[in-house]
Amino acid sequence: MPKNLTIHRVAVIGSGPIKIGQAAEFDYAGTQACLALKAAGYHVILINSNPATIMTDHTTADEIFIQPLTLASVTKVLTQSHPDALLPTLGGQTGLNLAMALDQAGVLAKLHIQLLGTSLKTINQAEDRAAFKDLMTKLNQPVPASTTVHHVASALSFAANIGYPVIVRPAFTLGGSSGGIADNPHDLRQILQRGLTLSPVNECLIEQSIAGYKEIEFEVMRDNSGAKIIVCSMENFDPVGIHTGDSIVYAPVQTLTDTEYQTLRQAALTIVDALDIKGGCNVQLAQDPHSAQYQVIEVNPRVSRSSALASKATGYPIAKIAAEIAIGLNLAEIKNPITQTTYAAFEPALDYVVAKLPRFAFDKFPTADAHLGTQMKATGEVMAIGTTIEEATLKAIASLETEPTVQTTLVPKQHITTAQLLAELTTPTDQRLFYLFAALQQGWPLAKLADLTGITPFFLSKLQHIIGLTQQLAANPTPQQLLTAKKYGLSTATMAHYSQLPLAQVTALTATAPLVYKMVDTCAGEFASATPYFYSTAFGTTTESQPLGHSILVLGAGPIRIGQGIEFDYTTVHCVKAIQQAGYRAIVVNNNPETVSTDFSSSDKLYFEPLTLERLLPIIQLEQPVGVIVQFGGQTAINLANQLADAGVTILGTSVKATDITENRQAFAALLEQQQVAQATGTTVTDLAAAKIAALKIGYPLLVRPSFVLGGRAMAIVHDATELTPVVKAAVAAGHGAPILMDHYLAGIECEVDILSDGRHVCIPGIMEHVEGSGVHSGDSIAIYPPQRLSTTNQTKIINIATKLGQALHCVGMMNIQFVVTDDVYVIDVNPRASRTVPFMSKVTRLPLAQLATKLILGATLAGLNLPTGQYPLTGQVAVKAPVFSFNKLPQLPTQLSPEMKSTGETMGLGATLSDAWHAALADSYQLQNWQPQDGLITDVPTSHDPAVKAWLATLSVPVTIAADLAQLPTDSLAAVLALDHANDAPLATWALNHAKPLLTALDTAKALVTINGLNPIVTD
Amino acid sequence: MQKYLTLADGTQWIGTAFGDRSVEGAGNLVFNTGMLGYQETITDPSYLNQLIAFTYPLIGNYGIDPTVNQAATIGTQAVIVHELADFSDHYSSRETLDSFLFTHHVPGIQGIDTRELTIHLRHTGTQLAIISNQPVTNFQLKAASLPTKQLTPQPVPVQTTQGSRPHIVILDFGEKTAITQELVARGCQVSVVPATSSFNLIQAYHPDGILLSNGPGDPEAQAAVLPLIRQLAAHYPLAGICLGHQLIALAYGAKTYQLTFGHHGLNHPVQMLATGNVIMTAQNHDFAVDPASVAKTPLQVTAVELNDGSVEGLTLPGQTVMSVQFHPEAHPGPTEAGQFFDHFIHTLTQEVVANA
Repeated sequence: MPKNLTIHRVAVIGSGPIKIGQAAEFDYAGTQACLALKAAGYHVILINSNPATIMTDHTTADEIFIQPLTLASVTKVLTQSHPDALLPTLGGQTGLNLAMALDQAGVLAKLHIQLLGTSLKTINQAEDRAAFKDLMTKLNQPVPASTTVHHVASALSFAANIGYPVIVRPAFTLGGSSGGIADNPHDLRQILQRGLTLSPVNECLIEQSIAGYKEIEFEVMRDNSGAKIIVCSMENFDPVGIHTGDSIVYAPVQTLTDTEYQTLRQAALTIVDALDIKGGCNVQLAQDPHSAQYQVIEVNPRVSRSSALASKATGYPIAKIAAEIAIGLNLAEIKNPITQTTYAAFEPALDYVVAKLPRFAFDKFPTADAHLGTQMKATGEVMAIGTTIEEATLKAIASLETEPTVQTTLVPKQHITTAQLLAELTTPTDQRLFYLFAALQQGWPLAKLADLTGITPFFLSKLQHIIGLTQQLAANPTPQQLLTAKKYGLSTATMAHYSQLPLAQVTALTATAPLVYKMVDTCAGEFASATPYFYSTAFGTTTESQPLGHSILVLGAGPIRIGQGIEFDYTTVHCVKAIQQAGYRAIVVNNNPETVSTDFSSSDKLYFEPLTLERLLPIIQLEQPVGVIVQFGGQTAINLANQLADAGVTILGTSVKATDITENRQAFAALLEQQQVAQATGTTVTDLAAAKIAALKIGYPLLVRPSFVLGGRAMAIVHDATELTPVVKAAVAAGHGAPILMDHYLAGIECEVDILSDGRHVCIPGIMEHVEGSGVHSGDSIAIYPPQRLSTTNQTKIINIATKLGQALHCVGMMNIQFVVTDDVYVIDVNPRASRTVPFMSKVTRLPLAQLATKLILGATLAGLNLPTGQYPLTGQVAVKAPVFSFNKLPQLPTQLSPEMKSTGETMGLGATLSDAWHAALADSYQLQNWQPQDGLITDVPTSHDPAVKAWLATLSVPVTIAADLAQLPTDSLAAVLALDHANDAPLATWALNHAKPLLTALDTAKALVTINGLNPIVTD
Repeated sequence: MQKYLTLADGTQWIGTAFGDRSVEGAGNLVFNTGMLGYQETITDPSYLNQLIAFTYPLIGNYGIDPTVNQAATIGTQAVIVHELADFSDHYSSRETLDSFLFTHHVPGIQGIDTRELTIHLRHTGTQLAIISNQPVTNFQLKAASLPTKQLTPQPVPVQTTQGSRPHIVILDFGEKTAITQELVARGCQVSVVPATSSFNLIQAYHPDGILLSNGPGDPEAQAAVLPLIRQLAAHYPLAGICLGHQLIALAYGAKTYQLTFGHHGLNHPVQMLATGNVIMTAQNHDFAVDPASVAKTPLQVTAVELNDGSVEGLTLPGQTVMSVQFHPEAHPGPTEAGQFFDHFIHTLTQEVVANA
């Protein structure tokens, strides 16, 4: 079928800010699809409120609207941009929901916008539980029996009918909490009574339990002619019962027989046919491990996190092909972009094993509930490719960037009792993999582990093999044992730890079996292909990767976590573009399957590898790049700079020495002093005793934080001596032996700049002023460009200080500097790299900052790039960046804003006035687009007793409800909730999240909300 | 114990022995890209006297299920894998792949960089190879010294007028059990007779249709059977699968040729020319029908492989003669090609009705 010639302008809806469950994978999919549409000659109109996306770049789409993803806002954009068609299946659940809302509101019909790809009827049929169940019954496809109940009696009779165990899911509770699995009527009664009480609508879903089944996923493509293929099959390590986003996943399936696989495959194809899918679709099924019985779990009629993983696992670009199908092409006429010689109508054959491990944020939030269940909690993921399950798994562990000791020893740090082990294995947390290793180390039999966890013994046997290898190393560390361990993917550090040999000796003894690089080619070597996509294995003999020559290597940012998000993938991709423009070849090393940077077509060569020294050095040795750029891969890349430089690798841009100055407290203090820049008094300490002495010397309040960590991890404000001990202990633990920083806490207006420098001159694209005070992490603050409260004098001071520091450090590329403005302008932090705000400022100034920085790193001057020194001229617009939190996915996480970063994403609002920009930014973040002063605020007694709150409320003219009894609160209230409660389980915050109310957890945010809605004048400093 | 894989072009791979460690073997070396179905593949009679290298690096994960063998004896000379799984907890498994191969006296070699081997074969083509316990010094001599295997013929079934209809007689060139099973599952009665059977013997079964099975080797080596095929086609609806398909082509004057490295996998796209539909198929063949030669015969091409355009299906207009190069019986592989059986049964049932 030829492409659709009746349309010319296609609108694409993005997925908005990054939240748990909806992350960078939609930027990857959206970008790929937009480029495919553009390549096919269509005019692409893009709507997304997330500035940290490649899809919102002018090279990706023709018209870009950084606007809220609300019905009103999207309607306005569509009316204004008059597209002929809309492609809704690329923006995750957000995109689908909006498309359905647009249809229901009659917008699509009124504007004569045709919907491309899978139809709304299909989407509805797949999304609506009842409609889906009906369809499965019609197709003779088994689904777990389920019903909704409002009374214990009806639940008991239903359960008696379908048999135990049953799953109870209370409707609309935070993170699906207070549900559970009932094995008998007694348990069911108990769980249900709690569930019905806690559900705001007194409703629970009772479902036949298939917990313990193998969870299998298929990524299916179907075209307009009905041709359909399985792009990738995936098997979850964790059985049904743990969200696939939180599960360890292997591709392809590992433990199904051909008979089982073909039955499930045929079921997936039958369902996709019946739904008349046109494009990509994810089908989740469950296979009974003890019989031929299977169940259909669900269908996602769109690209998803799993489709991004499947694309990276196979090399098959699902989103691109889905877009091509949407414009009328069929699989048999689309060339396979990997081989260029075969067609998209085939099923990729893998000749390697892919492991995906979820990345959680619980290392930052020890109090949050880390138990895994049906509600996703992971913020990101890593993927690794190997030629054995052991190798893929261990490479994935090495990519996680969690506790280094755990990554080395593979077991939890602390001493574990049998009771703890039993509890951890029975009710899994994010640490289950390491507890499994610990149990195996203690000799627990596979059968017992399988019984406790429901994990297929085959997978457990692979973990057992890994532990066996470490035990052999401990008992008899011969060169042969080391080589065997290396072959199965054990890191040098792990081998050194267990063999008790020095690292260098392990490296030397295993040098005879170097890593080799194999190509990901979709066809297991059957056809010649030139894909620049490689992985390493120690279990092979020949390397297929040929050095590119005249290349530059860029380090990516690894998994998305709180504190290091999609922004760093954005900057990585821009860095690559600039390298290519400068005439070099760009090589990327990264391990995050969700991202644009790990699309093999983003760079000249992609190595899908852990970002560790031992994985990087052989690549560098092979490729002999001109140098390595570390400024765009967040703290991950910066943390590798020293080790690489020590190994003789050329680090391009700002020197490693200058980087060290910014990260070493003493050196940095000396620099500020020498440059006559105001700084908070402070010092560094390494233990509690020293901390106590320092506290007396500096005086309270204190800001305590570890060095070399991300996102304000273990950072806290200490008001008095009683608070000091726990905070210092946590900071020492989080700092892995590096000194912790203690500074006098300065209360004031926080602001920050990103600078561009060629080492001599400095350009400051703009100053961002934070709405929340300096006690709130900059990543959680609302940022406003240009500053609204800073005097011209202070702005000038900021520009001067930024210039001075850039010059003093001979910054080449980018740097981020953070300030607090009180009586004077103080510098609180310098990050010698591209920061979280680079995409935002790039969108504000329309300067591709990361590309410009890369050019500077490659030798260009500011003058050569036509950039002014000092401040870049104001754009005339106001821009607001607002944080987005995923509190509803992370029960027991303290919601009050603090120096520890909590947000997962961001939105951007642009406007002629602050009010316009503010309303646009706060729509998809705090959900405040419709808030009017008369809607008022709801707060609780403890919050209202806070002296600062009390004082503010006294001056306030908006209605305020001080809730004494949450049960009495009107659930239809339009008020915004203000809850300042640093407890893990703040009742009012939980109420707001359960009822989807706008939740403010910092007083400054509430103040700004009221002020900007015109009730108070803006106060300048 | 070390095991050696030596190719006719002199290249050598060293790995670790499994299966029957004492046995050595020689034959054509092919690679198979299927990620599942190792047991069905190894027991597929079409692999007679071939060495199979699996491109998927982990083989043996779900053990051995005695119910899925495609033949009673294994014709495969050797199994070559990257890593052998020696542990399986699958409920249908009764033994490991290692012990299964040991029982059937098939040698295996593991620890091979099978991707490197595959790429080598892609460049150099299918060739003779030896799996041995010592390095090979004289390839020709060693190859000649190693015995070739033969398929055990299936017992000749009893002739009966009882049983369900339609009744299909399969000419056994090395039939995969799944073909019989797929026909039986569609309500057919199936009698499998040796490929050397006479027309009279076949006639005595009162078949409603004839199916020429898959089988190993070069179709041109089966010239003796071509007159029988023409005779059968004149009297009965006739279908052919894989080798059976190639023999139908030869019987009507078309030619076959050897592919460089064959089609051995479960992901081959086949386009049906009548509808344009594309389906995924399981394939296992080293020879193919020359499309140019078909033009000079009464046959028509009905399907092609999308990637290399090779002939995947034939029909004889005016007669019920149809054949496919791929494996509609699957086992292993995708099952949507089973529509070939539906089509054959539907057509011959109509004929049976018409002739009644």
